[in-house]
Amino acid sequence: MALVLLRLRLAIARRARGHGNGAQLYFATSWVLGGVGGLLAGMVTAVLVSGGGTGDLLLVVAFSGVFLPWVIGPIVEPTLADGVVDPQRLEQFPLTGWQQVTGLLAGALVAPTATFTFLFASGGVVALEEPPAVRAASLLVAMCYTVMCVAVSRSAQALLAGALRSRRGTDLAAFAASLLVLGVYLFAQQARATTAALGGQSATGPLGTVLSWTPPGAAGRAVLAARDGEWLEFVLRLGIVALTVVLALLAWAWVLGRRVNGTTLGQQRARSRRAASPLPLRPAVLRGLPAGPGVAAASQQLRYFFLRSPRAIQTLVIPPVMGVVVAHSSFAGYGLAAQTAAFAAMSVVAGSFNLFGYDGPGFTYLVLGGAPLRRVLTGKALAPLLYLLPLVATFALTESAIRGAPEAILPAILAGFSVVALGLGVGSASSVLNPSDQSRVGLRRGSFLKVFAWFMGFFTVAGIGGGVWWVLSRLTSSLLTGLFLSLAAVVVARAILHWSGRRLERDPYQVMLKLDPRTA
Amino acid sequence: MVPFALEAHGLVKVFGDLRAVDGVDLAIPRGTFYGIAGPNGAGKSTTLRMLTGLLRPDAGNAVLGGVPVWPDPRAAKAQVGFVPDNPVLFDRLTAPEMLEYAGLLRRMDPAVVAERSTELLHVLDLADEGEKLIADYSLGMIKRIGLAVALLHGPRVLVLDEPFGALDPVNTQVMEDVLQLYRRGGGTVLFASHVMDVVQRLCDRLAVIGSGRVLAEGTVADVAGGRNLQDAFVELVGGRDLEEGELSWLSSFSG
Repeated sequence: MALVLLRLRLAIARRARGHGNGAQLYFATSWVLGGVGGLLAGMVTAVLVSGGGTGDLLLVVAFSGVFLPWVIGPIVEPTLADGVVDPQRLEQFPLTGWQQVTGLLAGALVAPTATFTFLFASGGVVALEEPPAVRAASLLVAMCYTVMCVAVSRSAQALLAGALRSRRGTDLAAFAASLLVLGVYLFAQQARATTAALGGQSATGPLGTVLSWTPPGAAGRAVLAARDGEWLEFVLRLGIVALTVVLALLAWAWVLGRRVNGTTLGQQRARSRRAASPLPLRPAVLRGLPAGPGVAAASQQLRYFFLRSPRAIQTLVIPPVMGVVVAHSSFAGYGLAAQTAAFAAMSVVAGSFNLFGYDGPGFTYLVLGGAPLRRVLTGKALAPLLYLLPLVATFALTESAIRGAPEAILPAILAGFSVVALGLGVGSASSVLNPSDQSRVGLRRGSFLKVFAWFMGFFTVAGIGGGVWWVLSRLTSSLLTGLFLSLAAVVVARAILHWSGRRLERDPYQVMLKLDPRTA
Repeated sequence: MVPFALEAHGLVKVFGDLRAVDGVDLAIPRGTFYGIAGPNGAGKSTTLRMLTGLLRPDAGNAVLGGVPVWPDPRAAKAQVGFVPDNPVLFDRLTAPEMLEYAGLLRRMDPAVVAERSTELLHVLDLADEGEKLIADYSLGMIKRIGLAVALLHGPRVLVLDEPFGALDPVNTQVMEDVLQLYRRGGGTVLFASHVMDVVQRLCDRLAVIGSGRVLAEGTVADVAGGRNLQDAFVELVGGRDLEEGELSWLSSFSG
């Protein structure tokens, strides 16, 4: 049965490649990166296995480090249906939970990420001057380690997919995602100091000992045990890895079993019993504005951003967190205005460059109902202002307090506002020309490169704006420079928004087709 | 006032090698219950999508209340309510939120939206769903909220694609009552279905479509021609019997 599901996975992968150049490029690039990156990482592993000394500890740390993204991936990208083989499709067939899990696992092993992991872990196979037994043991460890990474990741994904249906789960995921990004960034910032600290330790030191008892660290330690001829130690460490695989698969099968029992229905019913008011769409902060299509679209957008989609809230939270760190560190030498502009640039892209991304097929309703699409686009484009302006102002105030530069607050806020305005304009064009449905993972591979290109284009334009700011501030005061550039940004944004709206009204079917291919 | 609520003149739609709709002409009188019947893949849904401004025809045009639907379908869409086979809605909104959104998109007065929403949700038995998202609805519930959204602005023409599929008998009765009430107020109902007893029970007039063409059109009695409507339909579109011995293994079990 595992082979049947593996063949299904391969067939789906062939279809998912698509016929567009972007999709083909993404598919090829991901496999090349997985293969070449894995080979390079495997060479490093081979050197560490051959070298001994501090290399032993680094090997254990590396095995733990590669395992980390497999575990935290589901927190950042939570979904049960991963665009590969959806477990829901298997429920109608007479398969045990174990058969489903092993089949899904076999399919999940055919991926660039799994290839990278396997090649990294099998570096010991090509280590210099090692006997065949050690090479064979390294291969066995690499296989078990790869299976463990995939199994743990998929079971965590399945567990989280259920938990994230609740509001509390959504909030928790957003909080965890922001902490995670912050943690990874801070770790990267401290990497040099961490490496220096590791230089004084061996694999039998405190860190090495602790890591060796964790499942990924045990895999690294097993390779070292084989090299040193400590075969009892090898069996013990490999046993930890095997046990983890079994536990992960059992947890995965348990989650699939719970779905059959309908455990999540109770949660849904509990949520549904609260009474709703007749007009619940518009949030209190927008109720003072005249009711119309623009306000309605802004309300729907904010509701989707903050209350209805775990992925949306994560996507919104992570960039500002990274923006704080980048602006606070990399832009510290360029002044408060540049820091605030950098923070604003990183914050605006997530909520503005794919305005219909969370609507998905709902966009078809807008076309079907004859909605005034220009007004809808304007409402959706302006909705992020509601959280971006307070965010930018708070950042400028906090950073100025840290720097002790109160006189720079107003120009900094204007710099941030200029970037936000420009981002809203460019984002509206991106949303009309390159929309993609965020709820369907497998179908937006090709659009990833285009989205990246739009981000880079926007950052370039913002950078040019920064150059203009630098020149103008040499000729006049920062405040006047800020006022002038804010006005210019609003004019540019308005023009782009107007053009995008006209284009959308002229031909909404292109956008509809990309968001809801069924309408073809 | 034009006598026809909705007209189709030589509608054509081609998908690659497939001529899905091949010159459909229709004239639907005001205040009627008009059915479009046809087998799967006959071109019913494609015709309805062109009539409601959702799919641009390759040739021909539709006219809704005297207003050409194409090239700019917005004016026509203001007069029509459309419930597709699988209603497309914002599935992460609740039913009241969806109705408010639909009303404001059509520039309706919020007070009117509130009043009509409350009433529609009550009549269609969706008032107790509270904060349940549309994504968590059953297909029958989605059909009902789809109908509520289509009726909210009081359209002159209501177009429904397979409206009674997935509905239980109680809700089928409620939906029929709602549609009859709407028709008595002067509204025109156009619906596509391949369930002949529903067509026979509700429709004043009927068009049978097969292979993208109108095969027969007239009152239900005219089309039936003195036979059972189901038999007349099968004869028009071409029936198919099992060959001797086909699927004979179905008479035994695999264990």
